[in-house]
Amino acid sequence: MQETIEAVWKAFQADLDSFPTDRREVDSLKSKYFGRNGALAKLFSQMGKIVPEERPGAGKLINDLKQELTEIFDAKSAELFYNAESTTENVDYTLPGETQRIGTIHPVTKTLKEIKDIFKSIGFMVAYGPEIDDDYHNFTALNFPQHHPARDMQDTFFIKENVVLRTHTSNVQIHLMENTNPPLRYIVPGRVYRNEAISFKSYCLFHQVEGLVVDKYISFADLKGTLEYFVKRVFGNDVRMRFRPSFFPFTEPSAEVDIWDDKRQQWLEILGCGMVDPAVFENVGYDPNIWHGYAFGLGIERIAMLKYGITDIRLFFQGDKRFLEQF
Amino acid sequence: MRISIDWLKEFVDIKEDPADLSDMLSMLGLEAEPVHDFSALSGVVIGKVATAKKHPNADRLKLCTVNDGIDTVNVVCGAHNVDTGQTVAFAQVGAELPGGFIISKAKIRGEESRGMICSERELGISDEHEGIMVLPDKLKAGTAINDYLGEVYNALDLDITPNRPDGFSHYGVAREIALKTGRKLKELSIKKATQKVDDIHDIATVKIANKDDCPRYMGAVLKNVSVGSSPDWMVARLKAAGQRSINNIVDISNYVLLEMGHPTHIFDYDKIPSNIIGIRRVKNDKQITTLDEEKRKLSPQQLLITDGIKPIALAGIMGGLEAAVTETTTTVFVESAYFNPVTIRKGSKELGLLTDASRRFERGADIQAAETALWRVINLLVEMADGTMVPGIIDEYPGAVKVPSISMRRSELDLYAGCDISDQKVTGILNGLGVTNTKKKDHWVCKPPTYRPDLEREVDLIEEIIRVYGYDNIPSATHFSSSFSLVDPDPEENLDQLRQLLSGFGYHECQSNSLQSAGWTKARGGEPVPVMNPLSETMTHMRTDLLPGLLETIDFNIKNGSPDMYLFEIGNVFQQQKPGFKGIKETPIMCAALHGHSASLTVHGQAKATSLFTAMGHINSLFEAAGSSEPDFEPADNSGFANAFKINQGKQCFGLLGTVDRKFVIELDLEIDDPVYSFHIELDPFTELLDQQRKFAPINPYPIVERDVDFVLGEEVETGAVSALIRGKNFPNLIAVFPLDIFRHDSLGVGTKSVTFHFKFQKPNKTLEDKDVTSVIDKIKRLVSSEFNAKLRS
Repeated sequence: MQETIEAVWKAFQADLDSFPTDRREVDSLKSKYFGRNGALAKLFSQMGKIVPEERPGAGKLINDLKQELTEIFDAKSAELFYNAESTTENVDYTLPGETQRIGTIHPVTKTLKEIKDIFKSIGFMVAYGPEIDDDYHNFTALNFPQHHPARDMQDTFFIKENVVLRTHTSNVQIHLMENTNPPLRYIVPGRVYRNEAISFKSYCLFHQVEGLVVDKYISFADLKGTLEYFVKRVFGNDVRMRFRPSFFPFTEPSAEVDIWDDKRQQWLEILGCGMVDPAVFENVGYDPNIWHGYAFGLGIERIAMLKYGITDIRLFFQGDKRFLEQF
Repeated sequence: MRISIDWLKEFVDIKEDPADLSDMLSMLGLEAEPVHDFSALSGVVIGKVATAKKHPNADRLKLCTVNDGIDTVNVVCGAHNVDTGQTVAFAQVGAELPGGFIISKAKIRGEESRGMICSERELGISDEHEGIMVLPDKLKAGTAINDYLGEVYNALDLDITPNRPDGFSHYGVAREIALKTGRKLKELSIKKATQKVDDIHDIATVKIANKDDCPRYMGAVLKNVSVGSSPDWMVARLKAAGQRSINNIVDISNYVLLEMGHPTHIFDYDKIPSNIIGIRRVKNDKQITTLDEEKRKLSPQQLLITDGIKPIALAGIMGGLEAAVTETTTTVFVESAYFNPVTIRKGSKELGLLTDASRRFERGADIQAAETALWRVINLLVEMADGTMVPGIIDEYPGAVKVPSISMRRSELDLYAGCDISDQKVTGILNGLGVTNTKKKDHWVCKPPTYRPDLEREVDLIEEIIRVYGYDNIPSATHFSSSFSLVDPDPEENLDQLRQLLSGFGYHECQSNSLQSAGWTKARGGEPVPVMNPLSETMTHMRTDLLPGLLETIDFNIKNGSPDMYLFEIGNVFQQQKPGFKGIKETPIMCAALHGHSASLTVHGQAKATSLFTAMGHINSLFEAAGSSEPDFEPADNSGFANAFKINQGKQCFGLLGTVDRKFVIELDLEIDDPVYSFHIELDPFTELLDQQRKFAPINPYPIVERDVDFVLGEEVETGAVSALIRGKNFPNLIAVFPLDIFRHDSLGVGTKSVTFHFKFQKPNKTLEDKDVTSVIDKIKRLVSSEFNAKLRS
């Protein structure tokens, strides 16, 4: 028995010296020793021929041999196939990685998501509405009198008489109030259109987020608190801001919100807002003696331009890869 | 509206510098910005022209000597109006002018020039550069000019909102400053003649056809006026307010307009021989030549001033040329009226003619100011043009001004403000606004002044109180309350998931113009929605598809060196499905376009071209991510595509996949030579898929057995048909079948291909035996052989 074990050991030693490099040959070498009909299996099968009292000793010898051979074999093949590829000397780690091309989400969408998340966190819901709407929902119901200079505030694209490309998402205010009972707490994002010459600071369309809150006791202080929270979430706690009196037909009092630009040393207008005008409530059948509210509107591109430092609004709509891939 | 600070000072004390004054007015809702900044000007002093002779070597130049307070220096000057004894703005050597222009020593046509005598343009005051600026002689030579310029020309540009007609004048702005600061508002100096004689009625008659169009018309006649230039102080004020001086008569009307905001018009009385002033709408009149020498076509919208027969002015908009004041005018008729805002608005809109007068009338002028303005003009004509007033004035006043009586509740004010504003403060603000008011127990009874036609309701007064009190003084709420609602808080939230997936696949999201050309919107079929007043020919219709915009973007990026691009856009497309507004359908879709390589050439591998199957794979992944099975692709006809496939799942069609037709690219006038693959998915059904509640299926722990079988098939046989046939038979334990490899070789026979199909088997409750799988595979082999005439490849 002893000799047989020796013989296996020697044969193994010899094979180690000429250890194959080909994976398939390694596999056949492996089965030569460790396989179902391999050398070790044969040794175990000879156990029956040994006198019973020597069997434990012989068993231990064969097991030891098996363990030793396994260790040596695994180490040798690991050295050959795994480590060989993995050692620093054999890997040119300065090669570039395999590229996985990734795309980007448009900065307007990204900014909108940020805006939505802020307002959702303070109980606002999100509603959407039509881009083509009738004059009534875009203007008249919002207290823009038919022949009033207020109509000049927004240069309008007409589809036909009394049908327009909405100039703001405020049209959805009216749809919402027509179809829902107060109280309400909504923001309305969407694409809006202005018939203005295209330049670095104005495009024929942009994206707006309109906000509307209606409840019994809503004050200008509520409006200020909400928008201060929003502006600070977007531009940081240290932002300097002011509410400046302004005019919108559908809110009264109305305000514009400016933030201070330290670099340019000037105030920059970022949104318009105000208390919902009672005439608007009357138009949708809400009793203005009971219901009060505030509304606000902001341009997403404007916020994105300030956040990212973009100075030409046209870049948003050009699809230039060198622009898109930065976001 | 440009406001001269010097002019404002006539009505209220101003202690603030222009920047602070701007801020104050902005915070009152009159958005203001300083116009000039003379502080940046350096090295410009008051100079006295000692001598001015012709330049010895140039006819058009003058050789001057200028005393700058210390020295007398030589200066070559090109201005025609330079003369001995003038006081001028003198830029010394080293001076810095607006725009960073620095004065240096020069030799001009052989004569030394040590400085420059400035024109208004060079100092940034106006565009005037015909001649040098001549200053008052009282100014002392050698003093820096900055203070003088600031005093005379400092001005603010105001952006007046449409609700504030009162903001369109120096007096109106001064009123706001007085209101905010508590300083005294000085009264306008008006001298009304008191004689009882009414000679004017013998020489002029006013006939108003419709009192709604013209509720009030006042007039006066002055004789012996001498037309000439205006005094320096008036020229300077007009200039500071951005107006050029024309002659004393025209200037007076303009001056009163800017001073108190009420438009007046001065006619040459002798050019109205009928002595009748009519105010009526256009009847048979065809056209009028206005003061700017434009011939303007008339329509029934227009309100006219006539001489009883033919038009002599567009009422409230612009005077006519025929009855205009000229150098030979001696007698004038002064008009001061109140016209209906809507009438003026419609007329001005239709003509596309917006003037200083129409801007004020359409916002609502002050009907009471008509009288004040008339007297102010009369006073100035007497003072500056030596006019003699024909005793009496005309005041046709058929319309009444309605001044509402408004009750402003304390409770409503508190509710709006969210804080307590004291009674004293409220009453003070109302008084400052000119609102007559009486405090009752819990409300104020108010009557607004006629110059604030925007104050009609309780909320209008509340707005005024909060505005003047100061938005800054309103505290910000620190908490909010909201109500429980079971409505979907954001119906488009899961589009973010779609965007994340697509950007993970390498797509860049775009936003493109929804306004496109007629050709682009018609190229894909359907009825596009046209825009009545497009910005340009390339923006006449609403987009019917997102693909043209994406193709334009690909074209743009190819030209800018990035041909490998995957793009997508999410947006609405528009179709006129039925006539009328209700027939317009807006559909939200996601459209993707693929061009170039899916992977670039790298050290690790070859570049890989994008194919239809790249796009198809992405669609499959999107459906998988939505927790849904892969869709079926059904061949479809579609204009614009060389091949097109409907993306179906069950009976629902989600969209379309295809290879863009090269002809379509050419039709759009784009230059894309390589194929573009595109797909679009309608978002309404797809978000429903994304919204579906997922259900967990227990995990099958038993091993999967896999087998490959090679079938030699006719080239015309679709692999999908083979897979579908096999799937349809519901073979026991078969959980997947799909083609793994396609091999073509002459040895297989012409017109054939060998397709390796991969099969996966799994039993739900135990480990599969070899023999179970083999028997099914045999059945499949027989099935495919008989149905598709397939041969087995060995």
